[in-house]
Amino acid sequence: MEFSVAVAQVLNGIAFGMLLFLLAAGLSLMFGLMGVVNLAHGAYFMVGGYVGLTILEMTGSFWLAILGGAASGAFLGFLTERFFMRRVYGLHGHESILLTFALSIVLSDFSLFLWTGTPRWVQPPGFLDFSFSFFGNPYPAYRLAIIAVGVLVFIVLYLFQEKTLWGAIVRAGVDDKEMATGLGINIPLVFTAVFCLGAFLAGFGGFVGAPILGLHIGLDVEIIMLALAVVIVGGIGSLPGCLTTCLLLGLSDTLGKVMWPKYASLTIYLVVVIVLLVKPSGLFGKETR
Amino acid sequence: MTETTQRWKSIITAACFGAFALVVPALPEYAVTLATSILITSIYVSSANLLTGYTGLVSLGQAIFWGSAAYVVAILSVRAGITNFFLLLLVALCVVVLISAFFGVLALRVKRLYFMIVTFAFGHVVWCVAMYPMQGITRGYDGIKDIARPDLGLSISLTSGAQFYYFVLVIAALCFLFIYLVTRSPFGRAMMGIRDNEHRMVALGYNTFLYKYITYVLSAIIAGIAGMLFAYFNGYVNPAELHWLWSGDALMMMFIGGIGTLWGPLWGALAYTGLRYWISSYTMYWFGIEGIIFILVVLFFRGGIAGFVAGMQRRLSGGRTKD
Repeated sequence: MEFSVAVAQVLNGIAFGMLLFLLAAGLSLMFGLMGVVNLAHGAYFMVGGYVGLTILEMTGSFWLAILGGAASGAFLGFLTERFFMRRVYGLHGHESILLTFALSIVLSDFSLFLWTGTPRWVQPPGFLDFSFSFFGNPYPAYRLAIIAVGVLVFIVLYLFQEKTLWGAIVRAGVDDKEMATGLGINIPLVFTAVFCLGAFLAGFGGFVGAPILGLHIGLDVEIIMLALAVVIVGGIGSLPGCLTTCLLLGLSDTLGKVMWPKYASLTIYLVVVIVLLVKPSGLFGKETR
Repeated sequence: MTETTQRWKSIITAACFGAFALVVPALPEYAVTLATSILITSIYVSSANLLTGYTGLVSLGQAIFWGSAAYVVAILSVRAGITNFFLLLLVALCVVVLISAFFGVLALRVKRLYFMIVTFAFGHVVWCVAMYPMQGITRGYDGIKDIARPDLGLSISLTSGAQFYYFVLVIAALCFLFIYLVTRSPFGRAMMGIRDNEHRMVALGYNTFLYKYITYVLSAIIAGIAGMLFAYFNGYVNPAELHWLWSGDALMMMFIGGIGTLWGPLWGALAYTGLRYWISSYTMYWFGIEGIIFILVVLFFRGGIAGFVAGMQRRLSGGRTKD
């Protein structure tokens, strides 16, 4: 592979890893706090993308579209937590899986109904719709912007979690829910807030990622599968660990597709198998599982 | 409830189902087809129930084994011209055992929800492999069609709907009997012990990994048998049989029927297949409606049909409480 092409592919992998991070950060926080694997998380991503696209077509504003996509994600997250998940916390665990599984197929079929099965593309906004010259090869500015956005989101989330009172409350909830409740923290409110935040990021990622990934029915499953692979490989625990895992998987996916096109999208699972064999608790996992 | 009454109840239920099952071919042809489909699905759901209901391992990868066995039948009978049922059974089960032995070692290194995620990921891998790298063999999205009914190599013909129905009925009965015997055996007791408290079983000296591993492979074998029957029944196999939706459906049918009960899978398969048949004739959005039904069941009908029936029986026998 030529050097400039290799650099371009590495950048693609990083950009894809950043999109994964937008999804996986919320997913692993929900997992850590509520012990719930939210299979509907990919659906927030897809619906966020579609809602953003619709707003873009109606208003022509990319910013409004981003906001709308993220808000629709947060709204779905709110509904999920408040009206469905809340009824199954503390049961065996399979109830929450079945519930989110059912929600995801409802959302997927609903999207099929609203936006039909035709794959859609989103044009990057005008001010980012150009290319840099990279060792003589053009590289789209939009992908670099996604990398920047990912870094920004990571920094904001990290500061939020480590430096603010709200972050401390969430960390306390992850560590010991009963003790946190005893200290007067309204844990149900924290649950709802975390669900909304996670779903907000997913909806945001869905629209921001649309110019790269496109929008089609089935995107929800493809993307949730990768985000769950992040949870297996990285384990849950730290935000930096989550980001590192996302970049690792984003790179292995992108480079795998370039090097072995026939086995596209399987390289990630090779990483999954290796991690399961070598360190089943995940690369950054704190607990034994 | 004592062991003896429990056993009598199982025998009576089996006799009722059996008596009904025997007269099904007297019904119109579409009912026979539907009943065959329900029986095949119930074997599949039973396999998931052995793993999830009795051993507490929630898997989202059960379609791997159903689909692989179906593909073995499709590929060997249509593309390689091998028609002998017993030969195909042997090959399909070998394939299923190999796949489950491999995935089982990996997936059972993690517990609870992680196990679910890992099996989910494996299901996706197998689906992808069937779709792309093995496209030349599996024909990708198009699938493989024109699978003939099984050839037993004896002088028994299975070409008519009723004949094939009886064939499926015998196999389903054997599978249910097998699961009944397993769950009554010391091995089955250990499975339930692991479901209820794995740490205690470890403390008692059980090699819980081995028990879970054997259960995983057993459950894969039963799912494989169901998948083979499906290939013969449907005459057509495509990657949807390997898809995670079908794995999720297994969990759902189990839940609707009654998780961890012998007859729950049959109830669940009956409700699901019947509803699907009925609703699909009105709308193309079956999955959305299915999802709504699932949500309602999880929120408001948690014991499933088996739990409902048990509750009714208790109420009829004088309102005695459980145990």
